Amino acid sequence: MNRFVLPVLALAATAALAGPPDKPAKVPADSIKWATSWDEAIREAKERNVPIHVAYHKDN
Amino acid sequence: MDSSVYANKDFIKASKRWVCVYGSKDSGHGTEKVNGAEMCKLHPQLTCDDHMKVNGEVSGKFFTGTIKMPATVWCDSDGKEVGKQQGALSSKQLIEKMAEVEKQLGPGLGSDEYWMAQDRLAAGEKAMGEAKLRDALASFNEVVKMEKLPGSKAVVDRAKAGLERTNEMVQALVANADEIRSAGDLDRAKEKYKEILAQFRGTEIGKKAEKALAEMEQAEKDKVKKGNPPKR
Repeated sequence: MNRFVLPVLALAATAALAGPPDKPAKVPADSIKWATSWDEAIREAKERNVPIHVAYHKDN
Repeated sequence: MDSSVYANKDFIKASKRWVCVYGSKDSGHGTEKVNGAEMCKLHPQLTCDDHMKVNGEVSGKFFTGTIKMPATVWCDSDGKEVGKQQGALSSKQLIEKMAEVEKQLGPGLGSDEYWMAQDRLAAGEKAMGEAKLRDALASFNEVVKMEKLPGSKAVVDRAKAGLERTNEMVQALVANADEIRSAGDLDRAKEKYKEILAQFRGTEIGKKAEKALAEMEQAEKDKVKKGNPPKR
């Protein structure tokens, strides 16, 4: 095998494994995108440099 | 607030400048099917398991004792509390409070732009994995174009890293073709240059491949003229 082919394959494999963070299910544009965990909220807030809104609720 | 505030279009618009977290230990409101999955009837972007789990994660974090529900907490991007309120707020009150906090903390990246960037980064990685390098470059470049938006540094840095890795792969393809050509395997070298040209026509890399192909064809013609056909 040519000596250049291996690095190319290795890079492709690295790219495939490096996947993006979990993406939310399709959220309609006209609704709030709620984070599904506190850790996810912190990670996203840090990446975007935005504040976090925490809502506590109970059923009536 | 579930129906009066969280469905309000002005609040939804304001929420895009935040990360929003919803905690509730209740599930009596029921579920509805969304794309085949059982989602919370009040907030179909979540499952009831999600908001019950979140409730467990945040319940003791910002309040102690009995809380007057609904309650709201505003935090900076590290999760440190910057304000809180017990009891219901109107959309207007909530938006005003959020604007105050935003003023203190400065602008960040909007959620639409952030998720668009995530989508393009994922497309870039996928294209790299499939060796569709021009598509990968295009996807990563779309994110790099967001560079001037506030709060875009993290996603832009990831896109730049993706571009760097893709460019290394492109350079390796050209080096591979050059080496095959130097070794005298002209038919295979031609195939390699043609593959590069198919992806990168009109670019600097494409021009290099085009030039190499033209040189090889000219060399073949010259040899034929001299009555000395090229070795295969």
